[in-house]
Amino acid sequence: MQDLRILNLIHKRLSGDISNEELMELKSLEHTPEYQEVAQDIETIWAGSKDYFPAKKFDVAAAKAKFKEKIVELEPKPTPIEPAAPSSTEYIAPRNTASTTSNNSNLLKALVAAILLGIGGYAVYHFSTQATEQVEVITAEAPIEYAILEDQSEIHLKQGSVIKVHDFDNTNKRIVELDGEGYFEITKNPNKPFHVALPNEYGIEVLGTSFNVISDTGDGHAKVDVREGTVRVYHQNDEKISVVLTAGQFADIDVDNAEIQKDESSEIYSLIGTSISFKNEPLTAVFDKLSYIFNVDFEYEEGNYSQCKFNSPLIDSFEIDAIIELLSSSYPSLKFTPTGHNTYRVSGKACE
Amino acid sequence: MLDEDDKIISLLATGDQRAIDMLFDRYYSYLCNVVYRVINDSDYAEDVVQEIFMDIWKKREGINIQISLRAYLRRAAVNRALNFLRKKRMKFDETEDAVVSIASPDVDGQGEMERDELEKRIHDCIEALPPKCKMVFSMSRFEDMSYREISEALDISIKTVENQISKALKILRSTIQPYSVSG
Repeated sequence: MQDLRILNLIHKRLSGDISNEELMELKSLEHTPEYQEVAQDIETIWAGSKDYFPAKKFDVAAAKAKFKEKIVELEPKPTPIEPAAPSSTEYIAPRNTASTTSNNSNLLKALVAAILLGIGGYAVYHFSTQATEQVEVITAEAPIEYAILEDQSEIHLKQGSVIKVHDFDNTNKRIVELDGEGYFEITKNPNKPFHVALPNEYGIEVLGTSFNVISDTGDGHAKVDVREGTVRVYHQNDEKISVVLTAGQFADIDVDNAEIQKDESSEIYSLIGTSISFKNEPLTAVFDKLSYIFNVDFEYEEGNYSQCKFNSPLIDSFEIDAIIELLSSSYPSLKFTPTGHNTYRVSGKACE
Repeated sequence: MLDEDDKIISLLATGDQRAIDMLFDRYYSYLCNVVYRVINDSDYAEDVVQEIFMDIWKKREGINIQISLRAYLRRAAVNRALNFLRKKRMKFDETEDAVVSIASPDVDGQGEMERDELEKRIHDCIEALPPKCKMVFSMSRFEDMSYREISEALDISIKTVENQISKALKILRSTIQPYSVSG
């Protein structure tokens, strides 16, 4: 039985999933004959398995043909021409390339205020609002775009995300539409709840809280991750489909199957708050998170870095260069070499 | 000059069906194998990849991929595979026989074998692991999932995860024994 325990502990150490207690336990076993026998074998297996990839053959041509048949079925059928609807326009905000710093918040406030003065009409598709309602559109061009709304709520948008802010003044709700990922800190106003509408018929109702939303995780799901306060996630056309989330919980919305699952919060889905921090995380996980936030790639030999745990204070900078500098100073023998389009080659020993 | 992924994305955005050919030629087999590595079901793997491509096709006009196309597709494939496993609520039989038959290596026990040969043997052995054991080992090794994450994804106890990992390592260890210093 001791063999199995050692085997598990060594595996946990190699995969960066070992607790301090388990590490102590493993250390205490290091001088046993069982450890000597097992350790080298497991390390060999670990290193030798890293490049395993199944070589199963799939019929690409048949799959392609099947797919093309399906998209023919999807083509819209001709429909009678309807009388033309009244024309509407959409005010598109100037693209904001600033990152999150206190220095630019006033500028952003002014920008947002200016945007809110913009005129135009916009027909929304889920919430019943007037057809000529003013809508502000913010597109995040920087890795993390920061904006303050007229009610002083704050939004951090992940690059490429789009938020449409409806007029807060003439309705009993504050409504925004999100396509992409956003982190929200909403000012309390019990008389005017804040609603985030997603493109997939789901919505989030908020009184005053902070939370993260991903409108599409790429697999037909959406995520809502609550950091403070309470929110209700619901289907806009079926109020029976609804869950209430409190701090530390997240909802996984399965759009295709009209299901919402509630669970404890998963870190990966709440990355873009007002700061980033790493708590005893394997370097490989750190690279994954940075890849996710900044859309960069890290190339490295697997195996070396999953054993190193990185702790950082809260990092307020949303500049990848600043974070790489911090990593470099924490691991002086680690080298980050830019190798082209948003890619860094990581080399050197990190913690041995 | 656009690289191939940029070309796929720009063709998609205009609804050009050449994007489909390029997507399939470049990523279909790769993504099927990504899913297959986790769930060991080639039919399901093909369905998943069809669904992912269909999603992209439906969203083509507003497509906005902020990471590399390969990473985006891979993430979508793994997420779907994990969702499938979560819903399937598999039963893990701890007493399941773990018989893996890998041809004996042609070694005399004296010399050190080539690293490539050892790697190949390990890969063959992973391929031949009992399905659930392979799944748990793959989630840990290739998807960087912690024991806890695996237990949540499969709705099994952490102890079961430990048992499956131990089983995989024991089998793998037995196949490398002829090469092993300790063996």
